[in-house]
Amino acid sequence: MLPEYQEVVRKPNVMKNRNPLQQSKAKVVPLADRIADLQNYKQWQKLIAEYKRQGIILDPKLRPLIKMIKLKFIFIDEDIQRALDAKHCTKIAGIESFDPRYLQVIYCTKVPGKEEYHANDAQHTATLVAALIDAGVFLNESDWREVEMPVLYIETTNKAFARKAFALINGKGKKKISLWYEHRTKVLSVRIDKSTDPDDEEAERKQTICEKYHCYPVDTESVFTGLPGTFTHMQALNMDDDILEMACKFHNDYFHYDEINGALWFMMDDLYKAFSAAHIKITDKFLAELAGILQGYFAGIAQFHESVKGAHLRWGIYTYGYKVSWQDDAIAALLVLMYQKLGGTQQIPQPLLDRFAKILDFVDDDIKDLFVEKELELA
Amino acid sequence: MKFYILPGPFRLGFGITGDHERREKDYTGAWGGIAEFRYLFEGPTPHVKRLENIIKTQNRDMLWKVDEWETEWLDNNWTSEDLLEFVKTIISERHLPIKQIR
Repeated sequence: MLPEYQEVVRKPNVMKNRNPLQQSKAKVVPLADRIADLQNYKQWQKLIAEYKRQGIILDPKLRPLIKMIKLKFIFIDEDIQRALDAKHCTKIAGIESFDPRYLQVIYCTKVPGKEEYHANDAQHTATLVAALIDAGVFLNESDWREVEMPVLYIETTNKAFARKAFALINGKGKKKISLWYEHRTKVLSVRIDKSTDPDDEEAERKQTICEKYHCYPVDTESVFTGLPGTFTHMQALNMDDDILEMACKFHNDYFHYDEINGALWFMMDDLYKAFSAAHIKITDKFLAELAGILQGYFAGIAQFHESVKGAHLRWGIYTYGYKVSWQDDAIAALLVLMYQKLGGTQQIPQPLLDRFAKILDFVDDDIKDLFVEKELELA
Repeated sequence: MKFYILPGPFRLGFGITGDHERREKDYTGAWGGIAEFRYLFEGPTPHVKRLENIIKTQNRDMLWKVDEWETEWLDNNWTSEDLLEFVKTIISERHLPIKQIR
């Protein structure tokens, strides 16, 4: 018999008022606030104490300088920089997306005593600007050689230094922007700046769907991770609106007291697509029955996810004789197989049942014991 | 699977085990004094694991940390009774099929 879902008392979701993406007004803080944050960080304090202990004093002249430089003085070291990616340049200059205000400063090392600037980064920027000028795209400019661009530079003849600087600018040692921050930029561009960029609008639309069901994407490093309704699996926002809505609603209806486990997205995506292809409607009754299994047998989706991974591992070894890579479609498959085993009557699309047909034999013994108990009850 | 609450010499501990007698001996051997689980619960593995996970998630800021390592000891003067109450509430609110056996 299918375990019946039991209501869990709904408590106010604290994320409703703490959601960092709900703001509709820009918030500006002075740099001094950020400095204070850093100075309060213990590891920073330790580091500065070590600077002082070692008597380290840095020369301010070593900081990079910035200057407007004619493009004819820019050179590229082919042994340091990557080859020009003409496709990348063409993409950046795309009519729909190119805006000269997005152009970046060119990072260079200057040969001491010469007007010679070797680009460590932004060769694509320099090249495409020069080529656009050459093509007559910029007003009143025709000779790219004489056009000035801002250059950030340090003076050195040390090529190894330039090599390291190039690696630094291109990722090594640089804090990458997380997927959540990319999403945040798009959402706030709409909510604060009223952007009409289709990418921004799509992100905001997905965010609104999530919020409607008290679901909140958060950064993996956020203090909010683990709170009910939060999730860090940003790929969820790539799902179709209908599937995202079904998944968020399911979470809010049945597991509002938990953070969202990544298995939810895979499970709902696979169910939706398999049922749609087979022209079978996913009913509220069916979803409630699935929630009953997840709650009754696994205390929620997180432990179900863990159990599926264990079962999949053992199933793979049994079926193929070695450890096979994790397949996330096992999540929905195992759930519907359990559903049938427990006497569920909803018609299930056959491909969902065929893919991992024997996997139920490999679930944890505790769970199998529950089946046996239920079968005995039925007998 | 079992869930235990253990008053330790410095802090309050908790955890899960398939063999609670063996685990008690492990603690006894490690800290040089008799370790006895004050409270013990039993239930299916997924539910007991989830219970432990909820305690860790909801009280993350109160877990004793050694540098970056998050232990299974509670700071901030948690008593066995505090945690017992917390566990009972979670079991009741979430309808977990877990029973107190000690």
